[in-house]
Amino acid sequence: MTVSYVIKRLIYLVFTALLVSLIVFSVTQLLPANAATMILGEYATDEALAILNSKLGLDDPAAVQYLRWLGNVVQGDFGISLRTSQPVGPTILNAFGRSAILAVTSLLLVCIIAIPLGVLAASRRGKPTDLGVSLVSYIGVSMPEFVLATLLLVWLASPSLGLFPASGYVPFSEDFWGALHHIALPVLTLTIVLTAHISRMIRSEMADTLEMDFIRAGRLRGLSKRRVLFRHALRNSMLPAITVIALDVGYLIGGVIVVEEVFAFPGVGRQLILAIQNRDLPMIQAGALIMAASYAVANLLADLAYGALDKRIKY
Amino acid sequence: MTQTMVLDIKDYSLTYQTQSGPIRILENINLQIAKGEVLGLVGESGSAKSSLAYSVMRDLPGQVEMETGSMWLKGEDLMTMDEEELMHRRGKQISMVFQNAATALDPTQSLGDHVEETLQAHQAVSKLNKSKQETLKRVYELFELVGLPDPILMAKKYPHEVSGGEKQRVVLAMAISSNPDLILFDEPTSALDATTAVNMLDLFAEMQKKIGVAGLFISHDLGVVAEVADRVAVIYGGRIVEVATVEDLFANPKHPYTQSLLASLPRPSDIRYKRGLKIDEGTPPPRRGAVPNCNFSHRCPKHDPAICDHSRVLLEIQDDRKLACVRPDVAVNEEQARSSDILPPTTDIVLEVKNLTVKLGRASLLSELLNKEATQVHAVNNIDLKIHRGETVSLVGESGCGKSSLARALVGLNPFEGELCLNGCDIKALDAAYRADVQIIFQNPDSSLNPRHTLETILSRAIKLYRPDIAVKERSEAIQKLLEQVRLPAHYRNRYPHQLSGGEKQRVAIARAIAADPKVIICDEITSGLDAAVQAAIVALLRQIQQDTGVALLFITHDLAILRHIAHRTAVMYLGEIIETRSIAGLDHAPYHPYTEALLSSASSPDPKTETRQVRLKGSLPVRTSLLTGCGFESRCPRRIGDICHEQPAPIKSTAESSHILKCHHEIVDLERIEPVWKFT
Amino acid sequence: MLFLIKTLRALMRNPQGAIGTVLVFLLLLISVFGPFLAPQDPESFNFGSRFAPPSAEFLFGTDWFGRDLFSRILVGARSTVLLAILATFIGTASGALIGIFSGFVGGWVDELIMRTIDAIMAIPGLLLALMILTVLGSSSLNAVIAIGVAFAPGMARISRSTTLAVRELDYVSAARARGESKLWIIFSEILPNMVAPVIVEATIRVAFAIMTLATLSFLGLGAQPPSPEWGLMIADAREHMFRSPWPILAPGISIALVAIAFNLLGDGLRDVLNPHSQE
Repeated sequence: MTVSYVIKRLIYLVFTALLVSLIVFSVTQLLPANAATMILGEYATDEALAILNSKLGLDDPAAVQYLRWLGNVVQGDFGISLRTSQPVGPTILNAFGRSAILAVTSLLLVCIIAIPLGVLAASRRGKPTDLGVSLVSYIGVSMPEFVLATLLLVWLASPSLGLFPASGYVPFSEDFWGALHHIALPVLTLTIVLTAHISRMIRSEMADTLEMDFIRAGRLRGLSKRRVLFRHALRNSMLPAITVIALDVGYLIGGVIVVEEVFAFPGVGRQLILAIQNRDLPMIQAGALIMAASYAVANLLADLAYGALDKRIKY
Repeated sequence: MTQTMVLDIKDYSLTYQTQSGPIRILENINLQIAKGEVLGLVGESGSAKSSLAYSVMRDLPGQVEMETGSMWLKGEDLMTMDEEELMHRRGKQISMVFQNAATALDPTQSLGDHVEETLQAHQAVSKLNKSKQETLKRVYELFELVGLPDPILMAKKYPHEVSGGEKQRVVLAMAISSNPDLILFDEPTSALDATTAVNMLDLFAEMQKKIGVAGLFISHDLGVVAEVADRVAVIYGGRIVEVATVEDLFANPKHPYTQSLLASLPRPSDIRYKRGLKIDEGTPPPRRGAVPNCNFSHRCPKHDPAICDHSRVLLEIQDDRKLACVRPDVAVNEEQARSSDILPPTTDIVLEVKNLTVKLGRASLLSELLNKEATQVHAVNNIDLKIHRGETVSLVGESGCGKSSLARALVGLNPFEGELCLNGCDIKALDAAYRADVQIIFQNPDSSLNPRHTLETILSRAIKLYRPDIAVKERSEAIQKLLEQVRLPAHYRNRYPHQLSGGEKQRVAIARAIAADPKVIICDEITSGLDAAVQAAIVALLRQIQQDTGVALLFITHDLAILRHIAHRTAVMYLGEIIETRSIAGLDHAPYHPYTEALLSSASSPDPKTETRQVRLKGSLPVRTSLLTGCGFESRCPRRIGDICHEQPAPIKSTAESSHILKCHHEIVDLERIEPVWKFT
Repeated sequence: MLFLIKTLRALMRNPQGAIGTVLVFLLLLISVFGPFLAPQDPESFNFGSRFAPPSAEFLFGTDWFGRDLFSRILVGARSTVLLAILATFIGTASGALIGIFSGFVGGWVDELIMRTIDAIMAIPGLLLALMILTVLGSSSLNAVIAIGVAFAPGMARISRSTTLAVRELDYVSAARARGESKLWIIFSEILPNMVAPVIVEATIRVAFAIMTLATLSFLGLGAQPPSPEWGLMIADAREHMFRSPWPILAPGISIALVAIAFNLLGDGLRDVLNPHSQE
């Protein structure tokens, strides 16, 4: 991997971030009602609207508004929430920290569980182990997060059992076990769904790799089954697996939104849904942007890892 | 058999189960390989020759329906061994060299690690744990042994960083690493260029002499087998039909299949002896259903139901060889095909190319922004070429020399710089009229025919575009005629390409090309993937078409042997330039361009009457990125003069022979003194 | 037509494909005829039997108003399954056309389109759908459009890479050398040869669309009450979830079953249409 490869990826990231911000901004521009109407309500006089419009700079051409908004965002200023009249920046950053705990914990768990599971299934192709793993992952990928989350709630958080709290969040700094208790169900939901996804992907990547000539060649050189499987097959499957995992981060983000909603977990997803329901423009923009940005960063990391591992990439 | 046999296959048969019923792969195979002996195994595609190798390795990809017989490796039956026992023998006692080294190596592992892990796998077994240092030393030793330069540097490289020939050497190093008793070679040279392949063959022969290992050498190419094997077994449809020493087999083939196979192979001496090629495009024997007593009987000229169908025809010792034929001594009323003279071409030029250059590669937007220099490859560099009406010019050269880029440029698939002149008119744009006059046939009919179109659609498109004179109503008739012209039955018109054999598909591609009634057809390696008999048939068809229509052909190939049966003149290409042009007959004697000399020498020959002088090239084809100052061949030339070759472009020189020109710094008189590559006895 | 029959026959020999085909066929029947099959009016209240467990009278039990869950599922199938297919169709058709065009034209046009698609794909799918719904407002049909738009970039990318692969094949070169029109090359040479991967991808995406559609309704951005849309049924049932699990289980299992059916069919098609598996 060369410096120019890293630079190229970084340029690419900035380019993507700009385009995403443009899309986010344009989408919110397309809304039938603008911020002034939202603030003053439906029955505001035209005069009052005009005054507020010019005060908020909503009279300016869209391009000017975009650049001004972008300039503020770069400085960490996401505007004032229309719903709570609080600055959006700190709110969203706090929420982001909580969401990140959910996402990262789940992703780590998934990597630990899904990769061995996929390898196991691929190496026992057509045998009971494979069929079992495939069946479970089939069900996993066909179960939307909200269904699984709700079912988990029904079974594990019912008042009669009281195993887990049904909703809410406690910061780790205040009560470690309580915090763990609160994130258990959301993390469990995300882990199950993602594990199904990723183990399926790993299995099919491994199965493809195991079909390749160099695997047969390795076996016919008298290498042990273990060595062929782990040194050759797994190593060659890891490259596409990295890409798959990075892509599934996008899926994970969608899952986070849903899971936060189901468990009333105060993260970015819940903020975003609340903002959408209340047409809280600055909050929608901030929430969407921060999620898209984390996805972009995940993809960047995957690209860099790919570049470091794959000897063939040269730019 | 005696104990001296390294491999002894006794009455081995293999049947796979498939969705459409059981299919016979191998039947009653009996083969012995003695210590230090190399047995060649020759057969056409689909003859199950590779399946035999994998059976010996005990690695069967299909679902086995039935497997009988035994396989003895130095007195131990491989067929009764379990996976664990086999693991200890694979790579240690029997090893394998694969057809495609590029896919046989793990792309994420360095070359040195490949050999090292192979060594370690077998050391642990023999409880001979050597230190890491010693293992590494052995790796370097092996690399040196297989002729890899700078072993220490080489060991650190990854497969994608080295050439095809070097990869094959690494595979060979792994194969010999544990001093095996037997090495199985599965088409080890067919993925390589001719000049690289001969180097590999030399190396195999040398290795074999040095370590005295036994070998099973599988190939579709009799010429290649003739160079390395002591004895040859001919396999047809999963049965061995003849086993004899190389000399006996080539001088006096006895099985009608072997005879037919040899008769369809071109030889360097063909022009001298006016020998033609036998065309025998027989269908393969049935692999399902009733078991024929002799599986060649359906196409055998000697087949006599009274004698041949009496009982199973098995491989038996007859005189100096083993033969699976019950009437070998019956003379067949069949003469060796005679070559008809190729009609001389006319003198009017139909297509002329002047100063043609093709540059490939486009810089991406981002690398332009990053101010990276665009790396353009000069695939074709300043080429001049003339083709006369009714003439066949063959364009020869190794892969990557730019011959396909030239072909694609001539039909408007690659942008180019330079002048084109068709029928005396300068061509400004490749318009419909030009496209109709200059047709192309691609190498692989599997990819050049759209799998979703019937032959009717495929042919009618060409007629619709090029033959406005043929009314819509008459198109059907025109298609009929085209199929007749390429000798395909009329009812094929509703078939899809995948329902046809390889040879038949290529006939469809030919029919599509002649639909336009063109002036020139460019044939881009159109016989490369085909068996010898099919190749002979395609070449005969092209000649017939040329005779009937006077079309000019640009016949692009890397196979020098077939040229004598189709071409009038040849142009040799190296690194984007034509370095020599001369008549086909002229190839039999000097002066040669040094590259032509090496290329001719690398063509293998199954001809007992020909002796080939060895000329070998080192290194591999460089890439032409910026214009070279000197001669393109300078880096590999065995006859390099000195700095002049590096500094000045080679001048164009004419010889005494008419229309013979070559590009070289050597004086023609010096080149004339060179011995001819072939001696005919 | 012949191709269709051949594919179907091959599908029935493939275990995944056979199960998937049969399930999907049944589902389509239910989606179309569901309202006629429903034993009870999905909206009629039976206050006498609220939160009833499954029984002969109420196959899947009843909800908090005593509405028959089985009938509601049957009627709701239409708004879940058919709309998901519609959403996938929108996404597939528009994505495939963009992808083929971009791949075939190449050059800076291709670069521009692909960079834009990269940027859109840098927004997680559900998030993009949410943003589109923010603009369009909440309704079933808008959810369909949002999913279609969110799917299009992915389909475009897949069809572009297939186009690039097909474009390099000699029969396309042959057509270009022959001087065929661009339209003929795109529709007659390239398109028929990339239908297979696109169909496989689209089938698997139907499963995804069903899940997303239900998710959007669950979040209150898709179907609106009292529609018996499955995601919405779960959202409404949450209030009463500790009283009876059936109002959640019935639609939940239905969604998973439909998704499994399309996933199975997609995987079966992938095996069957894979050129390597053909004889």
